[in-house]
Amino acid sequence: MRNYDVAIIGGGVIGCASAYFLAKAGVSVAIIERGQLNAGASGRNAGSLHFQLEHRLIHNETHLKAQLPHLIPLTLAAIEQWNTLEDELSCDIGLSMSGGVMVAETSEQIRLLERKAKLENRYGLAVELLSAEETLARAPYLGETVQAALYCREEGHCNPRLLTPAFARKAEALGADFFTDTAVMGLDKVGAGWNVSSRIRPGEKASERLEIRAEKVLNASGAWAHEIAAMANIHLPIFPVALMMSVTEPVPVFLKHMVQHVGRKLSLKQVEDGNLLIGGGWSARLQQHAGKWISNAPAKLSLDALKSNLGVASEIVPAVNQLHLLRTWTGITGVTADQLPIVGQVDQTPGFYVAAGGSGFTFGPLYARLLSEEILTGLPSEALQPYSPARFGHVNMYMGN
Amino acid sequence: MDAELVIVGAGPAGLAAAEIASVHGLNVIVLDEQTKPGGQIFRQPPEGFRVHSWMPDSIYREGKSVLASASTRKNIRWLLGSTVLGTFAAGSNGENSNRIKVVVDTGVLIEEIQTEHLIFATGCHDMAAAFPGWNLPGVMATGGIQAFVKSQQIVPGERFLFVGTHPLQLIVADQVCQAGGHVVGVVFAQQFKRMLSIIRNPFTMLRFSGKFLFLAKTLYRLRNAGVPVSFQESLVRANGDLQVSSIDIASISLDGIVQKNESRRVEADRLGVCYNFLVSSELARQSGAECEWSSQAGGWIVRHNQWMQSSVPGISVAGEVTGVAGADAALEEGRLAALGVLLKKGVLGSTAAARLAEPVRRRLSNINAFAGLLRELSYPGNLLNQLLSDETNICKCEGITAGDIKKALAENSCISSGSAVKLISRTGMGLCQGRYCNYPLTKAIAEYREASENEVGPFTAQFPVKPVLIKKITHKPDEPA
Repeated sequence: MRNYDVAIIGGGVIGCASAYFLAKAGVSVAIIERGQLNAGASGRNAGSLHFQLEHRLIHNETHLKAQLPHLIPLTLAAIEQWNTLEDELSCDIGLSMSGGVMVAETSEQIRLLERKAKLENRYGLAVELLSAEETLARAPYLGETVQAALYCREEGHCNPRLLTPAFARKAEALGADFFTDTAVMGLDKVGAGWNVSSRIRPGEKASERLEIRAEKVLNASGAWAHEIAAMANIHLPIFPVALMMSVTEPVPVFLKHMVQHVGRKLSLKQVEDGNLLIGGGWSARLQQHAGKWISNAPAKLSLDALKSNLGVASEIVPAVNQLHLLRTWTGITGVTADQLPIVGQVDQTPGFYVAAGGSGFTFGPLYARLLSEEILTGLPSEALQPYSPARFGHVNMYMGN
Repeated sequence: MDAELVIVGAGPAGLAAAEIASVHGLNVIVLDEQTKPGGQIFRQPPEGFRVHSWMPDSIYREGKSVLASASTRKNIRWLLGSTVLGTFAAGSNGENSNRIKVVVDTGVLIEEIQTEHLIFATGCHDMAAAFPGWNLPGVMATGGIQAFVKSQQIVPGERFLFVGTHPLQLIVADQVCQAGGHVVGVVFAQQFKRMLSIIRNPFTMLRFSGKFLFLAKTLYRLRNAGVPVSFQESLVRANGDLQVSSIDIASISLDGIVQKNESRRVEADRLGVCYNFLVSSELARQSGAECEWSSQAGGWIVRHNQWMQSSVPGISVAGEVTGVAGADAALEEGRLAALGVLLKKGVLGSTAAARLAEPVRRRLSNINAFAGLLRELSYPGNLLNQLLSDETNICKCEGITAGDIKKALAENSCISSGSAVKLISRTGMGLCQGRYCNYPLTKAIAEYREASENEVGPFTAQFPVKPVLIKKITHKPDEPA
């Protein structure tokens, strides 16, 4: 039995960043990851730093009004953190915060941008509504159908290939122990702490057991956080969803912004190496077996969704049509019942924390920092209050210990 | 568009499968990137070229006859000059559908073909050994040089030097000589003694006499033409400014170490490199077929059962993609794969299929014994690792060096799979999608982490397996192309 202060389940950006913040504070940490580090959504997303409210969040405007007062302060804190992250990690993470445009093509979409701008500015996120001419002047690569755009100066992208490993290296240097290819099989509350039972290389004959005793457990297992929660006898309303992303051949830099669309599913950016990353929330298909999702299987790509995604991208940025598609891949992320992340301690299982769901790349490092503080001090974080698992307390009334 | 059977690859395996399937009445579509069937081995002259006495040697006879026979079948539809980009399950739910959607770049547009049976006979390609100077113009795969000579009788250079471990370089050197080229040397890494020791076994000699006779004849002709053939030597580097002008060659000690400090220099403007072949399994892998590692047989080879069926229902494999074994094995595997499809479709009963398969399996087992010997004979072992310096590119597309890979592995102690190293280092993310670097990278990781290659695993093969112009994908059917 190995003893740690905190056992973190999941080697994605939230798990590795939490390991770093905790190890930095002198806490002993074990990270348990069933595959390789950064192999899930953290390394497969398109690296957008979304600070304006995304397409998926503004779909329902009533919802939007209720969320904004909470989300924008968090966004501002995230911007502040991203501004210092390269220094903190002392390495290149492919960070670019050279602005983002969310475009509109119809008068209805322009009105939505106007209302969104008003709200965002009121709560302190500076955004600028650009006319068609102003948009083209600032982003000449956009197509003729673009009528307006909402510009956010801080938006941009970071390289998902590099961010999580950078946190992991820092955490390891500070003494965090990493157990990869190791799957958690059981969580038992014993006394004030947890016994975490895992299997190293679970698929193989020579599989060994790993027994860890930890004071606290952080569930950072992303789309599959509900499966880990179930081991602690807790329901988490997190649902895996499969998405696709594409990358083009590299070309000389012509697109310096992160491009989104207010009414259509699109995210588009050009990375340092010159490749364009195209995404925006187009679906792939989770694999099933006997009516259940297979949590370890890659999602299947849909050709129709790919055509649509590339279609939107090439209508908004016509130059896309002339590029070669290098590769398309899928990833699985988690959405929660109310679209907001679930971050905090679960009331019914003291010492069991969760951080999952909702813009995990843009906000992952921030969730990790705030939750680490909460774990260290034992005091609930003010900023995370709206995202506490307590809002789903009713589904756990009869659960927990 | 749909077909009862789709075959990807019009080389020996694909042609043999197409011939058998069409004889039994199936409607077959055969796809190939080349504009004529034949694959790499029976590469035909392009339109408008007349090559006097094309591939006259007797070892090519059977393949040429299959090619001729398949070419006349009415129920084979040829989609040549087409690149298969990947496959999808045709139904909305992959598990409930047994139809496969094959996505093809026909040059102008993307076409979708639906079928219940697919055979990947996607062959192999030259291993691009990485060494200092390997990206200089003039350094070529020996198979690439052969392609010029074989199909067009073009001699692509002035002074040729061939280095490697594979006997193919004797054949190509001979073909270059016969086409009027000047060969300044053929260099083998193996000891001549070791090569002989395999051949010397009288039983082996007798069993494969045709092959050895062919090689012996080739060697004889080269010696007569004054071409020096040397053994137990390796290349060290290729030199030149704008293109290769000379090659440094060094001897190999008895314990297999290249004596880099005592090299000799050979002037040449074409360097043919031939250490091994790598299987082209990316389409099968993109389709979900399970693979396993074989250092000798070409890297990530596709697993299959006795009817050449892969782990994916409806998808069979034949030829080099199951492990490099040469054209004769490919012909037999193509036949077996087709019989397997006919059995599964119910065109043949199990007794009939077994009866037809029996002589094929017998011949295949005989051929495989020889292929095994050849693989053992030509496997370069750890020689290629010795040629790498930290500054040598492992991934040409992205410019990732062997040193970059070592650094990534040293700094990121938890990363041990091929896909994870690809993600962190960009190796294999370029235009070739890892076709060339997956092999050396797999070996490098396995060596560094002291793990098996199967633990390292292949790069995940993604759609499209070859780059495609986005305009072809976004094109709407009602618009002109």
